Amino acid sequence: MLLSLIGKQMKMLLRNKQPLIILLVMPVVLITILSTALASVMNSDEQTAIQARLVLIDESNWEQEEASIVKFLEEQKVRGPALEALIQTFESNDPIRILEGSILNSEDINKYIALEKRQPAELDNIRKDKEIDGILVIPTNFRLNYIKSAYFDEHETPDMDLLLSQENGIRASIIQSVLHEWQTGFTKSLALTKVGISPDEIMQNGQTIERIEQVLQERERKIPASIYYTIGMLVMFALYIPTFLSGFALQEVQWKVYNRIILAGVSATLYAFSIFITGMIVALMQQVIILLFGKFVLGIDWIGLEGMTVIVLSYSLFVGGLSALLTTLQLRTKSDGVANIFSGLVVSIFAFLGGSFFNIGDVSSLLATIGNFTPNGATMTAILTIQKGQQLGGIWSYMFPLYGWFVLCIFLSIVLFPKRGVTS
Amino acid sequence: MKGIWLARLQNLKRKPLVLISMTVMTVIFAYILSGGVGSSLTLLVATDNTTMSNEVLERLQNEDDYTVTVLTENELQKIIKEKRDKIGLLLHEKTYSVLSDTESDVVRMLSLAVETMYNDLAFHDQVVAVAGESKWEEVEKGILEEPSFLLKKDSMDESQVFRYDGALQSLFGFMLYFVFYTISINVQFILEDKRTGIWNRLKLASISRFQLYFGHLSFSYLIGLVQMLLVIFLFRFIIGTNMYGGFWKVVVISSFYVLLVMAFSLFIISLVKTVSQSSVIISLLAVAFAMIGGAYWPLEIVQSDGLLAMKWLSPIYYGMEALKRVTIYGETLVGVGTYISMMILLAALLIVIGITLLEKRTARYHSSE
Repeated sequence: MLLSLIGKQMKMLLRNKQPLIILLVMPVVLITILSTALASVMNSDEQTAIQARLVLIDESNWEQEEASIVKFLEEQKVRGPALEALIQTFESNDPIRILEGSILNSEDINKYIALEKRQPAELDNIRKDKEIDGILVIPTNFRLNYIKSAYFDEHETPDMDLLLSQENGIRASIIQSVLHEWQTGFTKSLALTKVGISPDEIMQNGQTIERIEQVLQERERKIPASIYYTIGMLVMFALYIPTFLSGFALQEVQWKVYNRIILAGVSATLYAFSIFITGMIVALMQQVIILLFGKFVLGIDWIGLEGMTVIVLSYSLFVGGLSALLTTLQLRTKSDGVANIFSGLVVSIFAFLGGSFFNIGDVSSLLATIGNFTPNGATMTAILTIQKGQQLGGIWSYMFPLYGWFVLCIFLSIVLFPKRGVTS
Repeated sequence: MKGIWLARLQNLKRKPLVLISMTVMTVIFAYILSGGVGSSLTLLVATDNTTMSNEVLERLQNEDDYTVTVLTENELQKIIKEKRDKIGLLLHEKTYSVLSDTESDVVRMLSLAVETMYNDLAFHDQVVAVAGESKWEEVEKGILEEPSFLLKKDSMDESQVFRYDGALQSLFGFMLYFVFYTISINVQFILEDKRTGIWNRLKLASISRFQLYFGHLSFSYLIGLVQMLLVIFLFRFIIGTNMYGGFWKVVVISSFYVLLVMAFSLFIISLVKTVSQSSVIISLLAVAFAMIGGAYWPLEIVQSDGLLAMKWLSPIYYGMEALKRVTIYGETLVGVGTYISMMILLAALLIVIGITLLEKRTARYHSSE
């Protein structure tokens, strides 16, 4: 009897196109979209993908300004070889030369910023170009004014315009931070010179700090976007199974099929139990299909088979229990209100907190902690722990909330299931 | 039409729980996610106890953006292995590492911040070593008071003000996302009324089609608008979010957004048969729209051009762009006219298609009976 009840449920699922679309097609589509779209955000080897385009508009150049600088120096009574030497120093310390030649040309920065030089006349057009992330405009007498202000205290602090695109905050902020470093460097050496310390002495001996990549042990690895979103969608979409199963149950009550089943001698408990088993089987199949999709289409190498089996089975159990509970509540309230709220709101919020859409820990640690107590969040964390290369022992602290939810579902289903039959 | 309003109001009075809980949820989530509480990044930090690393640690502890827990190196390694959402920081004298599962923007920003701290400290040490502590004070004063030259920041687009406000971006994003649900629930009554037969009885009564639809839709619209305004007012006047003088523009844009979402929900329910189908579809679409419309993350991090092109499908995108432009970038309502007119156009289109489909389906429904 149990088998035929389960068979009936499965047929109902298979004959409706909508459940199949939502349970299988939706997650697969979303996994594909998310893992490709957000690959650059999560995968460390694709860092270079975000490259900002900076346009430099220099309204003069060193050669043009040299004459006026020489003239100014002569007015300051610098003559002969001293003047030549000074000009040399100024030229090699010209901020724009250093920016173009050493900073933006260095390999580290080159990865992030692509530099382009344009003519001042083009400025208005470039400002409208959506592809460009920032424009640095050097005014005509900048070099002369800089020398006057920095070395002779004769001119107010010169300035230049940095125009940043708002379309692209992240790229603009890369440009901004690099140029800020450049400006600070000059400010620092200026401050040193003013108190009589040679900037070279400080800057050259200064130790540089190095970032060491996280050392991973042999079995360990980082989680790429493909694994993250496959798991995220897997745990989220399994939560839609109970909605469909309980929806069918309510339909059966409305169509009096349920009463006929009861009349045929099937106990209400067996009916509920069949929904529990069906939910479990469907969840198991769904998870296996999605995992196989990940393996063969996205090329994910799933590791820790033993741990994965434990987690997937436990989650399937939970989904079965939840199906039984939602059915119970639907039959008790005789409306689909509960399942509606569940599928419309609870699933979204749980998926959100559990980190299915993005790593919520980046936004709020508090929410991430709450998320680990949702059944899907706990399952996701457990699977990710296994996929990071940890041993089976590491997952139990996440499995406990899941088992807690399971026991709660089963308990409530048993207590609340209407044993005296339901009329529509 | 008055009758329809009264009936809807009565319904609302009897079952206010869903509406209230949805509104409360919207506020709570938008508040937490936009950085109201608990938004500081929790860092697990281990140092090798050298002066340098301890000084960096001290600086981190003084920053409001981070909540620092100090551990030993072994403890840190162990916790990072077990937990998913933690970010660890290993500070040594001349090197540091950021320990995390994924390489996110947060990790990159953190690395930059740590690097700057190290460099500043190294600079300080070097100056002190060469010239002594007293000179350092002079140098520090020079750095603060006499910049070598100034970088004047401005926006590339002349009609905008240059500003970056990540908190407002996430506030708007999550507000638009959650309001999407709350509004669409208000429209589902049509399916419920159809199931119970009330819809047909109303049609038989002496009431014109226009009055029937207008009565229902205007009520749903008002409820949706009240909800959205409640959220906006709460943030503006009670929590005190800075909207950069664009508050009234935000209200105007929101009223069009509510219209668009309502039209969209009407379109969806004209395609499905039951309330449960519509809630599943709406919840999935809300997530998809939030993703492609830039509610969860700023769109610029999305690399795929195909996905970027899809943003035009998302109602959330129009709302999001318009809201961001009038507040953060200080544009005028005329400046975001394109987005507003797109919202109105789409809303009108979807309402027309939705009502046509609803009418057609009911006609067929009758003939089959």
